[in-house]
Amino acid sequence: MKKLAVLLTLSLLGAGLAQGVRSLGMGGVALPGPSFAGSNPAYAAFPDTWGREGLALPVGLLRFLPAFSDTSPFTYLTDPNAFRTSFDLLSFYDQASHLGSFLLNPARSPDEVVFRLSAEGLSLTDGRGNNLMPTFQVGAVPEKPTALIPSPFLPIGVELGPGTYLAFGPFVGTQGVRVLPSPELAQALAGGSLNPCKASDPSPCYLEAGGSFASGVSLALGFSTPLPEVPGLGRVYLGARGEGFYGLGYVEASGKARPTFDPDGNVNGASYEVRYFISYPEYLESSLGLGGSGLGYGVRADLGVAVDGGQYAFGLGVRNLLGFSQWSGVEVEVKDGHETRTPTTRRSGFSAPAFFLNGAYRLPLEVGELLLAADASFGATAPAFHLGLEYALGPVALRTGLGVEGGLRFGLGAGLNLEAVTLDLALTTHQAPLVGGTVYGLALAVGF
Amino acid sequence: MKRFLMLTTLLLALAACSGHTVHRIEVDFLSFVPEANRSGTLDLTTAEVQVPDDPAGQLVPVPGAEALLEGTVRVKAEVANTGTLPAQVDLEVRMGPEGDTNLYDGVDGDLEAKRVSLTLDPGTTGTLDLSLDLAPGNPAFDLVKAGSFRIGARLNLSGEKVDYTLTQGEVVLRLKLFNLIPNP
Repeated sequence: MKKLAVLLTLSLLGAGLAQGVRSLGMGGVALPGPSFAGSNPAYAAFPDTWGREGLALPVGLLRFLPAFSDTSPFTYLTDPNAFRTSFDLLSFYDQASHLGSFLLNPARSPDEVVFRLSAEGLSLTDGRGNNLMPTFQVGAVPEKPTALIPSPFLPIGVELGPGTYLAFGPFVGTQGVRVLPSPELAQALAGGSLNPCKASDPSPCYLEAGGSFASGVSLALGFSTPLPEVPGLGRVYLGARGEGFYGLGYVEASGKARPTFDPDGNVNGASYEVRYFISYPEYLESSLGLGGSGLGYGVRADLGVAVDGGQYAFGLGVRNLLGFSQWSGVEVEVKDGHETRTPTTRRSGFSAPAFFLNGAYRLPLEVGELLLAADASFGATAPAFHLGLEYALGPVALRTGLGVEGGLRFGLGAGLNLEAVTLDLALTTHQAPLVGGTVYGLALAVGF
Repeated sequence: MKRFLMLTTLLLALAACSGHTVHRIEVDFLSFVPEANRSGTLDLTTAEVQVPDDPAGQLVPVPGAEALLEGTVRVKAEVANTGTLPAQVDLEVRMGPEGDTNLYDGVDGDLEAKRVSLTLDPGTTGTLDLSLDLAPGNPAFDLVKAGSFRIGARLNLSGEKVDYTLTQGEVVLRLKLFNLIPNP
């Protein structure tokens, strides 16, 4: 239990600090430069004139102090009664997955969940008559392992020569989480009638949940270099990176729950199917004892190109253009209480490219300067799009932007660039998971 | 392995759950009674009717019943005295454990949860409104808290003739899943 809690917290930590504060203030847009070398290897040698900013502080960690009983699981140890009356798992998840922001109104579970069962059907509402549709997705849930592992957390980088570098670090993170009702179940919940669920046996109504989680250590060897300037275009940068990993743990799980009916069409129970694959190094078998010991490894190649035209900059990165990964472990299937375990080796495909395209344009004004930026991600990753702008006047910058990234988001921000120190502040937003609505947060970065 | 599965299930169950969330389960058990059986006549030959017909009653499973805070059982019937003599109608709700095969025989743990009576003069109508609060200390509460229980209702006539129509039959339970979390 403690091990799983630590792994979960670490995975969320990795995801939660993924973006800089300047970027958050611009609606999450990615500015060209070394900050996004992970998405486009050509940016490793790119001048740091577009996306420069201070170090993002994990201000979201403040919400794990026991004083914040809605988001702090540690309240369980300091005040069990306050934990039982105030702790909100959804609020905790929301804050933990956005550690770079102190959430002002983290997603909140409904005060009342009403299950109404009658011969006509089953309805699920929030107590005020609003239907609760259990739908939730973060990232793209892979059906098989991928060499596209999460970015390393606090990597150690070594310069090997001009444009050549080595980076080493641990990685841990979810590669996607999903809770989704089948169309028939969604129809039944919306209409309050179970008739769509009786169309076949087994019932077409089911609630599906799935996700995957990977951890390990990665080693990347990258090369990035500027090419001679192209007249009329600007300086072109090329980059390539090879990244391999040694796996410390991989879990891929999915589950389905569906109602069962008696011959008269009345609900008489539910059937469950759970399938999961688990893999970890052999030396962990004695402490975990799940029978999933095996080797996990992978390697992939990333390529990128970027252009710096002075007034403008843009780039295209392709991660996992070629790649391979495999995990050996055990696959477990549990169906209506019967468990089958099969030693299995799960392998990825040889190419599942994830594309990242971004650009920025500086527009000088009579007073100050305007920076416009946009980015798009697509391919073997959850699609996302952002658009942001920044108005700079002397040491002060004002920012705003919007994006689509598992829901609509927008940002507001400000920056102060003094000689000795830089400060960036952003008001961030994102869609509350499961319950919908907008969650606001504050993010802070400091540079010296 | 079981611990792992239990933990996974618990995490999924708590995904939309918090210390301030109350889960309310409403079971409209009257809707499971065929329309034709919800109304009828009680007279000298048929002075008693059970709902549902089966003396074992209706089984109501309650997942997570250990977290039960409170509940209510509500049964309503419209009654009209169509005879020539005054009549008394009794409405009784009986509950029993999951394994009980007859809720009305007073053995195997069944009990009378509540009873209401109505006296009607010839040609008059009235409403039998039975509301049973399930709260700690109440034997019916303990039955529900066991995780699965049976429930049934019985209408009884002392008189000549009445027409009845059952208009409501509902169990409402309020549960707080965070109450299942033990102290550290």
